[in-house]
Amino acid sequence: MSLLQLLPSLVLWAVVLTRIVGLRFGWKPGILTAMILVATGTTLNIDAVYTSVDYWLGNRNVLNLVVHVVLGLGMTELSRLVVAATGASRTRWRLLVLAGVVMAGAQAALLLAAHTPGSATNFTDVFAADPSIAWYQGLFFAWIGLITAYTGVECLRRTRVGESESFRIGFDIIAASCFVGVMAVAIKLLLVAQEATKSVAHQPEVLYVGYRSLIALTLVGFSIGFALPAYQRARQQTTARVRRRDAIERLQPIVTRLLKTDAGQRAREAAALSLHPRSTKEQLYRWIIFVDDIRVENPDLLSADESKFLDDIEASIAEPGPINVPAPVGN
Amino acid sequence: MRRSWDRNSNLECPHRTPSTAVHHLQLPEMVSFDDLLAAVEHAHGKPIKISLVPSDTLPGLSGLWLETDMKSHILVPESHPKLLRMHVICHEFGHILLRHQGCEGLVSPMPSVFKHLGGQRGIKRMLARSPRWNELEKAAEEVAYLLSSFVMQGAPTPASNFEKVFG
Repeated sequence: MSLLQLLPSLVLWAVVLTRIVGLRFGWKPGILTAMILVATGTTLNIDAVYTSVDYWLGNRNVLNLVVHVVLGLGMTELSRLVVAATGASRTRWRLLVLAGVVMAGAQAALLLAAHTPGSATNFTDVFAADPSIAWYQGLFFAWIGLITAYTGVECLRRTRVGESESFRIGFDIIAASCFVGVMAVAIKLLLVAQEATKSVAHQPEVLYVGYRSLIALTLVGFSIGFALPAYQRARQQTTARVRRRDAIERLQPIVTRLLKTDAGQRAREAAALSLHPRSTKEQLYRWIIFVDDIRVENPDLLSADESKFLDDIEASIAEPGPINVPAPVGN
Repeated sequence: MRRSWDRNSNLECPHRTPSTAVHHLQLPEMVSFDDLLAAVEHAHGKPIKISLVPSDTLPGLSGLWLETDMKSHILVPESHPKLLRMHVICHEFGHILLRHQGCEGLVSPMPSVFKHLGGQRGIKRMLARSPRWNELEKAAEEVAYLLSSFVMQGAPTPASNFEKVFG
């Protein structure tokens, strides 16, 4: 059981850390906020963590409310991103937030109205016979089920045209994970209903393990789905960085030699050139423009091999972007 | 695409540094060259026509900006490498954005330039990129480096909305 709790948490935090490192390389925050919230909620829900932290909070399951709010916020943020990606109206997003806020308020009121002494990792088993707690659990899981289903449906319906392969596969995994999550929520609602009505459960242990397994599968699916495009992007950036570093290493002796010429001294005035080799795009670009300026003015200062090398670098960095422009406009 | 040009935009912010001139364009993190051209045209208040010309049209120069009442022209030698051509155009954008006043002395040594413009009548401003670097040229060059970083920033923007938002 502890593996079913630990594994999703570790995988989620690995994705979060990857995204945080990615920020340094120009990645957008994207799903980072949602992932931090979901990872935090998942970690706090690990039995050992839960009992320790809740004991510190007064040993009356206030942490359960915190977990609900944090997970609810994370999934709501994920849904907000889905709303933005589908181009749906802001009204839908406002309704979503409003429902989330009302839900959080209702959750707090229901939990505080109930008497829930003693940290309980099996919260539903212990307290769901209390109608307040039954509503507290029922409303939360119904809400999570609703926004997870919405996220899954929109992810499934999305237009895949223009997606990179890793993103397409990743998001198909996320869509599938959402539906697994909805199944988990359905089982949880069944468990809550059984406890609330004090009905005899058919193999409650099986249901409980099934619920935990499906939740773990959902969270691991989310992590893999978001990790795939991140991994692909990191690989592309690493390749580009290595290519830039190689180009700069090969350009350095050319730049150093040209700087000793009159043409080099003139061109240096405008290029604000640094000879310290850094594998940044800016550095490579400045060096290329510096050498190009000299090449067009004094082609004899570069060998045929050097000119070919320069053409190759320019082609490689011009390839993905729009810098093959301009097309001749009139003449 | 329908474009509109603000004819009063030239009167705003007369004292500009390269960074404020670029900042004023309010470019997104990454732009296509066409979008950059549109943004500079908007700031300039008139259309900009870019022409590739034979190298002997601009002897000793890597680019030239000429402004008339109705439009601006940027001439770039067609023999230049593609990347340098883009940089030269961004350099001329720099003169435009910094509202440099130009130099009349350039007209007479380059009569063939006017073949590409249909005559020299109405030219009110003219600036060239050459190996002689004065303060105006250095400022325009700095704008060129700043603008090129927007055009060359990172990988291309994904076409998928989901990938844009979540990616």
